[in-house]
Amino acid sequence: MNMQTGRKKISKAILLNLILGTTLVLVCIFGYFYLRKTSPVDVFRATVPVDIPEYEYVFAVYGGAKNFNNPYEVLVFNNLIYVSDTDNGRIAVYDKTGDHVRDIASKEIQSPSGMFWDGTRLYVADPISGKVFMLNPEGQILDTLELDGILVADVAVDNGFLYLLNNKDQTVEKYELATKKKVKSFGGYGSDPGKLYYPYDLTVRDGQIYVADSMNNRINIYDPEGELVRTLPKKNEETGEGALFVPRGLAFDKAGRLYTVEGMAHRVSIMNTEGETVTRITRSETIEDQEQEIYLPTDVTLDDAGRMYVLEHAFKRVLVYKPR
Amino acid sequence: MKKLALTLVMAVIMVAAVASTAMAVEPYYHGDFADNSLGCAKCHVTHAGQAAALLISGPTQTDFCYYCHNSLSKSPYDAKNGMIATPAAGGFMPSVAGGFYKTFDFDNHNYASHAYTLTDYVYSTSVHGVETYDGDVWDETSIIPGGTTTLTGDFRCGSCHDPHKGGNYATSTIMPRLLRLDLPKLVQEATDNGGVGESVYDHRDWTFGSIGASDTTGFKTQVVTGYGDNVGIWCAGCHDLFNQMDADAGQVAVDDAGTSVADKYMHRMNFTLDNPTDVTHQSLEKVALSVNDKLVCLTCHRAHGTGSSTSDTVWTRASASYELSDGSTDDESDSSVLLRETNRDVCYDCHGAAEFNKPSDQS
Repeated sequence: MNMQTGRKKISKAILLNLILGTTLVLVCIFGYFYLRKTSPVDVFRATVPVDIPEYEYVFAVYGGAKNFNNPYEVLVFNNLIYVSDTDNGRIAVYDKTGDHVRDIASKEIQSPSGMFWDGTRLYVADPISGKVFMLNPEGQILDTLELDGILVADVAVDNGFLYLLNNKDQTVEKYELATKKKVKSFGGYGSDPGKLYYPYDLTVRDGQIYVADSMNNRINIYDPEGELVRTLPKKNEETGEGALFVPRGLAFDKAGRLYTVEGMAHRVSIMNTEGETVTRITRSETIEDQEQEIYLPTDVTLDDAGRMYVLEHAFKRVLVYKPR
Repeated sequence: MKKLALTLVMAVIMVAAVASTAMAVEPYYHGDFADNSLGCAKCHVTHAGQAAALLISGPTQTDFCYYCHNSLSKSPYDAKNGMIATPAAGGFMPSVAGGFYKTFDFDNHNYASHAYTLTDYVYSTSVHGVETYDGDVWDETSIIPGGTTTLTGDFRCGSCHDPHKGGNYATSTIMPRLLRLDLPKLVQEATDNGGVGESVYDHRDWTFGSIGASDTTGFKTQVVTGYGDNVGIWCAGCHDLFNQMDADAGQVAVDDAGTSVADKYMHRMNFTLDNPTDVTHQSLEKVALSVNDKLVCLTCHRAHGTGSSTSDTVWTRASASYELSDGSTDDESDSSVLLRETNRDVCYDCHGAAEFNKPSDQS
């Protein structure tokens, strides 16, 4: 008896039918989306839950004995909250409960604005004195980058280079930290791609420089050589959906999502790595059962525990949120 | 013929290229109104604004304006600290209008060769009080100094400026300083045909470009402005009683019949000086005559704030209280009443003989 061992051969006709059938199903599926003018990716995202960060307001940090006077940025590291309180000429430091710990102030630092923490040093941009100060966490000046006749608004450090915003010329300037020599300048006045008009914040991630091009309502991303890589947000050009209104502060969370505050939209917007806005936060505290809104935010940052800190110009305070 | 045609084509291409550069639009927030509802929604809400005029947030209109106009890092005008970004002039200039918090120390530092350093600026000693900076003196029931009307709302940035009048300024008469076209009170003014009509001298009369910028290039928002001949009449939209142009206004009491204000001998205003070069300190930053040498309000006063001070022996009631540098407010102390120079030096600059009667000169 000839024992057959099980595997049946598929005839050419059946194989052809399978291919044609599969093709027909795919054509039907994508034809449906085509005729409905919808994106299958969007439908997929709408039906499959994705990880969208949510936050709950906890408390607010006010200036302490002295009210904030034109605060520029908020930064959190070493379990402390740092606020550059520009017109008071100080960096005010608070613990995580919002209690005032100390002020960093000196005759040299006249108008602290943008700040950056690289793990060992606190970099502080001072537009009035035209310098970038490098401090230890206690506030002692370790080194200074003296700049000639520019208006330095913010600063960031990456891979041995220091990047700063020069709002006199609306440029990003790149300095080699070891030599303190300027090696490149890019951006410049205007609204064309890559140009800048009153940028507020810059930060570096994965070697790319992110600049909040505030008055052009966009975020410019440059490579280290100053070439424009792309612009955020990803928005619907016809409806304007997804647009930003005066983006200022920038921050990244651990998942690589980009946070910005929109000054004239009074909210925090969170974008995924594609530049699409995944959620927006507009609420702050609750007063007499009435939810209040965020008013004129200027900066946002996150700490290691995932708490979010929003610096608010209108009421001169830092709004603290915890993740839900 | 071919050469001519080729030349013409090249010329057209060159003109187009140059024109496109010249017509490049400067990013300009106040003119950046989208043609959909998002344009208005940048600043306003439809039903429940947090500040007057349905502004989306406050707490006051001044706070709202200061979101951008409190630092040169954020916009070309720092109204709070009295500075203007002027790239065409090499960087930054002090605002000759002064600032609401700090003002360039015109009395002790050289305006023309100043450096952008904090030490050149001093706390303002008096300001054209806006909202929280003026305590409760200047509310809607207050009589305007030198005016026959009361305020129709708290005095604020929007009392003099109209944030909507920006936009395509390069090709029109739009006022870079966004001054309002209509002030609360219309001014009685002689018309060309000999009658009397109501006329408002608007922003188009102001002059620009004292510090280089052309009509087609550069950034017209970022120049220091001079004063047009009718700027005093523009101010008289509120301070109308001060608008006395008759030559004998200081010798004959002006009849203010119909008002509750007693008749006053008034300083003659808005007239052309015969010998402007005789005026000491005659310059845009100090005693500033108009473009055609008229004496106007801004000849002696600053629009926003002054850093000049008055000594204790010179008493005058504060025209407006203001927030002091320590955060307190002051309604009653001596005021520098927005004068462009210390004490009454603006008087001496014209009335030179009086200078020799100063107590300090009477040993």
